[in-house]
Amino acid sequence: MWAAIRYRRAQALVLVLLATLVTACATFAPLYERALEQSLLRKAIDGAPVADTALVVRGGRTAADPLRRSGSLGTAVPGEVRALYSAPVGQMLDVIEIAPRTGLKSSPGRLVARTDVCRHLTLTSGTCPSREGQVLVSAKDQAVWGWRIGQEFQTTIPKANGQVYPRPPDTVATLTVVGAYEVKPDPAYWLRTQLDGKSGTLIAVGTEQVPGIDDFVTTEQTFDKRWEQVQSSLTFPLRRELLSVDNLDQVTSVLGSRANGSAQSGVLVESELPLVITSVTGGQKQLRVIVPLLMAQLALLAAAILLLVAQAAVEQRRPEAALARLRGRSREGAGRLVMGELGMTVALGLPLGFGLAVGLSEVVRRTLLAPGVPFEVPPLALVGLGAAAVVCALAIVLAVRPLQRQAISSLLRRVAPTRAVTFGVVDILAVALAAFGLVGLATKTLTGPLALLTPTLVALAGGLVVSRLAVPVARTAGRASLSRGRIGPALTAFGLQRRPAMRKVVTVVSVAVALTVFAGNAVVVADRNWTARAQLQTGAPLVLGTDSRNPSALAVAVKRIDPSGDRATPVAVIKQVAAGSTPTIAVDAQHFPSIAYTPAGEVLRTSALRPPPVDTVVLKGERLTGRATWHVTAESNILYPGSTGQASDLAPVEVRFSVTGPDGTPLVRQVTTIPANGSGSANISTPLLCPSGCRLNGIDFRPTDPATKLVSATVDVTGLGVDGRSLGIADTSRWNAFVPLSKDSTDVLRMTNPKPDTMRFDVRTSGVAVGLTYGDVPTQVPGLLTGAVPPGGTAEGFTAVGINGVPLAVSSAQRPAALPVVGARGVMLDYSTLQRLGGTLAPGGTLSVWLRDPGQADVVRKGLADAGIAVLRTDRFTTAKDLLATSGSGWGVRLALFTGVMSILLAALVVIVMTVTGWRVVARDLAALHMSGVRLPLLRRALVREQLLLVVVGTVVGVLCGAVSALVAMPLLPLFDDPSAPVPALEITPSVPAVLLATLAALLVLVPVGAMAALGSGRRIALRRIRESL
Amino acid sequence: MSTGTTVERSTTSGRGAEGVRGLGVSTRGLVHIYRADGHDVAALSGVDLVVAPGEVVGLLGPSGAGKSTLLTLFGGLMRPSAGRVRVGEHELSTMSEPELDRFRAADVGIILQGAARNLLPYLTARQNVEFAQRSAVKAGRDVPSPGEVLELVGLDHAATAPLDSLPPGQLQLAALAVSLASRPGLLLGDEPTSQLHHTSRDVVLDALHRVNAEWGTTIVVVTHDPDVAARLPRTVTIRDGRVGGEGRAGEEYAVVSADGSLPLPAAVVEAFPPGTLVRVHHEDGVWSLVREQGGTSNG
Repeated sequence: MWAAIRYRRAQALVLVLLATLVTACATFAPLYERALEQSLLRKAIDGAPVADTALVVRGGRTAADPLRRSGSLGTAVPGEVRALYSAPVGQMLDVIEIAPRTGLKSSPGRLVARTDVCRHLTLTSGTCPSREGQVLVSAKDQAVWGWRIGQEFQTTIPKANGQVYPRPPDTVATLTVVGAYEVKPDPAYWLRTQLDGKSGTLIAVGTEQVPGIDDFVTTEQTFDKRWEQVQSSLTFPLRRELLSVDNLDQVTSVLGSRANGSAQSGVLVESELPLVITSVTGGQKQLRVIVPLLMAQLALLAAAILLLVAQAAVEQRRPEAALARLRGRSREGAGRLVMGELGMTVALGLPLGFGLAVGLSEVVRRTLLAPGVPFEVPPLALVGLGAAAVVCALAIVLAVRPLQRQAISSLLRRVAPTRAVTFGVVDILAVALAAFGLVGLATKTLTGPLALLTPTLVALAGGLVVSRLAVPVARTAGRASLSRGRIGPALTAFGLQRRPAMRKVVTVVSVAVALTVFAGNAVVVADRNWTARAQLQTGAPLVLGTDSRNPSALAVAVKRIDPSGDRATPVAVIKQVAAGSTPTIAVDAQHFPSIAYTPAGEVLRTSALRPPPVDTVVLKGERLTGRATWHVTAESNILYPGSTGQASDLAPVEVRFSVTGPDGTPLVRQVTTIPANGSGSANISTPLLCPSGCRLNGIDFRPTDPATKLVSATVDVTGLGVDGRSLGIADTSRWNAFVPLSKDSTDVLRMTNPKPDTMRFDVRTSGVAVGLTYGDVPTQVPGLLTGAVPPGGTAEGFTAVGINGVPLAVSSAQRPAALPVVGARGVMLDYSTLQRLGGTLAPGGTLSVWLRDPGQADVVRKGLADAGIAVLRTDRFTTAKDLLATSGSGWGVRLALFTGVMSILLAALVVIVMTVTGWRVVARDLAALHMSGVRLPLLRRALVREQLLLVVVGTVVGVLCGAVSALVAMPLLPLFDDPSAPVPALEITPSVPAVLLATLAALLVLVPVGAMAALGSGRRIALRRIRESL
Repeated sequence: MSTGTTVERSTTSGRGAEGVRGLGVSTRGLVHIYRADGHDVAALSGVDLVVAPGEVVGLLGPSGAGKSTLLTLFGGLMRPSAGRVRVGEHELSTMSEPELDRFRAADVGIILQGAARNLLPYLTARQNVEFAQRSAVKAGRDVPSPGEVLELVGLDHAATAPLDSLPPGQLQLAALAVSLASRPGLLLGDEPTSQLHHTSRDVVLDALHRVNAEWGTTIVVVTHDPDVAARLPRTVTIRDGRVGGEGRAGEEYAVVSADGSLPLPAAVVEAFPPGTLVRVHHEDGVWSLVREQGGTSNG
């Protein structure tokens, strides 16, 4: 057997290589998937604070357990997960009230006892508490308050029944200072407990502010029976190295079920670990779709190629099988002879493939994945190895079976009986499966293995059908060329018609190129969507989150840093707490487009957001001044007893300014009052009451008498100003149009400008205030609304929150699908328009500076620092994209590159194998033609042309099938770990450049390989071949 | 090497040191039809032939006459369309496939045309012999040692040499050794000396006669070579799928077939063109053919 294997070394090598690849594909998938899952876990666990992964058992003292200490809580830990956690840190904590100095009010503080606490403190003076009532105080408090060792504090012990009446007398404990501490930073020990940081600050207690004091540290003995409110806890830090993808489900189920209590009364078992795990399992789920999707197709291709190569190898062993039968072996015996040799050959590939897969996953593990991923061979990899062995064995058995079916007389013939060129069962089956898969995918009704294999099946069917149809085409072309006397093309055509290698090469190249195109497209499409998501998440190449609460101050600082506004722009984002609320993003409409990313597929009409060209009027001074002239008539209702119903008795009409205070608060300032009836004039001189300045928001006329039925007035206001300085607001173009309260309203307010600096108001009101707003802010601020219209509004008019948190009327100028940062729900407004409304940043809001060039970050940081603004966080587009690209889905999709490259290599291998196995026959055929007088160069050119045609036809079919697969099968590929609806919407249209690039890559490999193989065969055309018998 | 000696041995065919071990071959009304290009073609159309155990027979005849077909039927490689083939005690036309496998394993050795077609190229001559013995051993037959077989054909000195290092003559001897691996009672050879130089041809023929002499093996070979035919004690000419004549010790004979027909030798056919009416006279123990003047079968 070994002699037989050695005899056809090259062929054996190819078979070993193919078996290696099949095995590598089958085993690499589980290895890679396992390593990725561990990597996701490590990344999530290592990135989580120690406190988030720890298990905490909490419990208070109860009547049943009035002396509960932290140590007694250990029994509440579920035994199934106890081994995952290291030695616990116990803690007992209660509140105390300490008067830091005689005469001062008591400050609230905490009395803390913690396991081995002194080993995690630096004692600046004194000793560690060892007895009941001994405490350590913080060194800072000691310095601030001059506390000395031995000093005693009296504190009231909190009572459980503090609400009962009559209130029982307070129990007082005495705490003696035995030393002072400074905290040694050690997150693994302190977790969420922070002893210091309160000293030197003021804290509010009711309506008063008292000095804060750091925690007192004591021993557990201090908490005697009187401390019935003391809270004990036992925190078990996670031994992170023990957490594996294997025990995630167990941990989640155990901890999830214990989250709300435990068997022990009054004891709560808590852990944030299930939340951390949830983020991992999302990635796991996606990996379990992507990896098989890509690897199964490659494995299928490799198995199909193995079958083809095995068939070719079996064909070469016909004489040996014939000899075996000639010497008395049965059909089965002759088959076993061939199977034994080929089986042993492919068996060599199994360990090699397994080793290759392990090596590859090891390279990935060591170079690309998160540190701490263990080396593992999951059971599924062994299953994969077994499956690969079965597939290899099956390929050999299938290839040998036709040999076993042949009679000995048939075996003795040099060539196998020719097969029909009509469509066979395999072709029809492949076409049917591909069609079924395509329809299923197009209608989104197909899932499971067939869905995953559809891209390969489509290419397989395409390749088989085209190679079948190509036979009559080649025959016709050959005859046509021959009739025209073109020997070369005729030879090429007849070669294509006659040789069985054609079907195999075309089919395999089709599948390989289709896979490459699919894979290349998948990578590019995934990258496109990651880019879009990352752009939407960050908004700009670099975003500096600031601590500023003042939109104007930030705008001024940014303007100073970048006067052009093209490199940096201020952005405010206000998110409300309520679920389903519409967040606001305020941007500089003029400069935003040049700096920020536009959500994929969107053209944001930011020009519609620009503020009107009216300057804000700031009222600052002592008194409003001017002169008012009026002519008023009114009608009255009798509304209450004692009312005369005479219009002349109605209370006057107020003329008011609506203003916004420096903090954006809407205020009203009276300008003057005019009688409800009659004519007259008067000077205006009213206190402004805006010491820090107010922005003019509008003017209104409000009948003050509830009996007013109708007021009609013409009021001229001349020279309206502050302290005698005219405001210059008489121009009607500076005011927004009057908007009645309702459509049915008969109220009217018309403003005209009869002469310079005079505003004439024609008023008609049914008793309600009618007013005009000043034009620096539109009546309805234009906005770009994404997502649902906020409740109570319409697209034409709804309410959104401004930067200062004050609601404002907004009209939708565009309904894009998504907006930067806020995603699929939010409204984009103009920053400077909202800035005019004044005020400071609303709670839940952030002010940030968006940069076009991340290289400018330091300059901008410094500029902001100069303006007293600190940068709290820096968000980069590249970081956000890396995060997506290294997610479970990201790593999975990256596998497509591997499958693409491997597909092409496999196809190249097939081209070589088909040439190697068939060169003798080809060389002999062409040698016969050479003997008949056909020149060698002509024969060789025909051979090269034949090979290249095969490659090109296969490539064309593959590209078309790959593109079709990319179109219908891409939705199968999860691009994000988060299963919720992606924002922005997925853009999975096939990428033409990716398809072209993959095609080019395939051609760059396959054409030279095909040409070299053909040239190699061509060189062997010699007359001596005619005499060869074996 | 002495040709005379060989001839002497051949005349004592079938009588080796261990007695007659050869298998007799007989056919009766043997017909074989195969299908080619959509038509039925009769390769053999009623062959009646008897080869005695230990006999050495050459099958002669033009290409396409059916010699090789006859040989493959003798070897159980094909089943006849009609008629019977008997080799020793085996009636090949009624044997099942496993019986035929066992028959090929032990009772018949076949040399295909072209030495290399008989050999596994990656094995030595000895290994090829061993390979050919496996089925016979499995069938419970005693087989000679490979060395004995190789010594018999005169290839013991090259038993372990790679096949591609052997000259054509030795390669043919290796093929012969393989066909004799199970010490069969019948050796069938299809042009065993074709494509060989005279010297090599003689070596192979010597080996064949030696096998016949020492083992008593019945040998049937197909040949086109008159020189080879001249060294065979009996030749049978196959013409148009039937036995056309026989030669024994240089004499040519017409053979009466089982149905009484008598194919005439070519020279006689010239004298008696087809359709000629012939009267058969018997006089004094001599049978004469007398042409009827002007008479034809259709006229």
